[in-house]
Amino acid sequence: MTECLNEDLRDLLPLLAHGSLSAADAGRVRAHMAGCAACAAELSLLQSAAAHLEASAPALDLAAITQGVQTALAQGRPALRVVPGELPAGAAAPRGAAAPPRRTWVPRQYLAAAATILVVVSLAIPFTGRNGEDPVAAPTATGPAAATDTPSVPVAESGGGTPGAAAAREALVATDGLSDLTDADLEALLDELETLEATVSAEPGTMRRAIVNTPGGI
Amino acid sequence: MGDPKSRTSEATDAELIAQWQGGDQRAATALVSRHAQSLGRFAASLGEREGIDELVQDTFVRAFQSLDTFRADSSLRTWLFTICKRLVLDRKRSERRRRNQVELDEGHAVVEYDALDGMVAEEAAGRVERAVAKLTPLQREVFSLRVTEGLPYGEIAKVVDSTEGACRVHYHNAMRLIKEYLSDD
Repeated sequence: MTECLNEDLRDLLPLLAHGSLSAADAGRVRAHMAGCAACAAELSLLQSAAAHLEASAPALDLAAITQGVQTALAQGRPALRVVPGELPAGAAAPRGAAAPPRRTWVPRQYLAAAATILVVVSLAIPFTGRNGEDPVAAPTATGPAAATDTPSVPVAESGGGTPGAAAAREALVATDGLSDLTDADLEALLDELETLEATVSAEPGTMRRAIVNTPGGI
Repeated sequence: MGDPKSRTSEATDAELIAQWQGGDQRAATALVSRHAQSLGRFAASLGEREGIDELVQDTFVRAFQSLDTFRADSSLRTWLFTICKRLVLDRKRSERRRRNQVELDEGHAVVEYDALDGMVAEEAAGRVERAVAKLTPLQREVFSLRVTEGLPYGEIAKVVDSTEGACRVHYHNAMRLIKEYLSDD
């Protein structure tokens, strides 16, 4: 079978077979085919191939597919709304949907250790700034026990936070560490730490994303 | 104000998406009806024979769940094809792991259609079918998207993750191989 050398026109043959060619282009191709047996034969072949490919595709149950889509999306809809932390009770995340951001709860002893580090660092910063050098070795606290090694550095001026937290900081410095804090002081420190977490940490993109398809729908 | 059903059937894909996002369930149904058959054909052209309904359904679910990421720099149908293809590839990978079979390499000749050879009563149709079956998966995919879906090469390139020029070459190679097969048969 010979081939037409007009590749631009040959490129349009499958679109003519598909029926997606504009009327103007279809007329141009048909006019060409009137004098080109190769293109006419190729169009016939393409129509056979298209018919075969369409026939070989299985029949679909559109009603069942539509129902399945509606059901899946209805089940998954809660996860598509703005989810600050977790799914509503009983809501299952849809397959393929981005997992909602999860809030991880940290044991209190780790929070206490983190609070200690935070206090030590916040006390060391102004001290370093006044002297132009770092007189205190960088704290390498790795746990609550490290708080007992905290040097007797000057009490930092309150750098913000709740009054309770400031009092707790002073109490922490005045005493030997977390173990000597009262429950109220520790609570105040933890509250401040949680506030700092909320403001400092970078929110995952998925938490900022506003899901627009909220009302109704499937 | 016209009939809502008729408005839905005549609306563009973009309009239907907007309607669905506004809470109109009929818009989603219209989108499914409009594109499901094409997705089924496309899945078949990729060699899928079973569970195509489920595949098409999963494609729509994935698409609706991530419509906010659809940038409309391609048509919705092209986007659906890319989602469908990813699902097919995932399915093939799972099957391969399960059966520990050799991967269907896009560079190798395909024999998946061989089982169908004897099922075609019409000899002419059977010859065309066998010719198409001899194409590589990539050639068949490009050929199918061009012939049965009427996609421009630029859209085909997005589906098969290639270039427009390469897709044009794949199509013409496919056409040449089909002709050669038919002339030798």
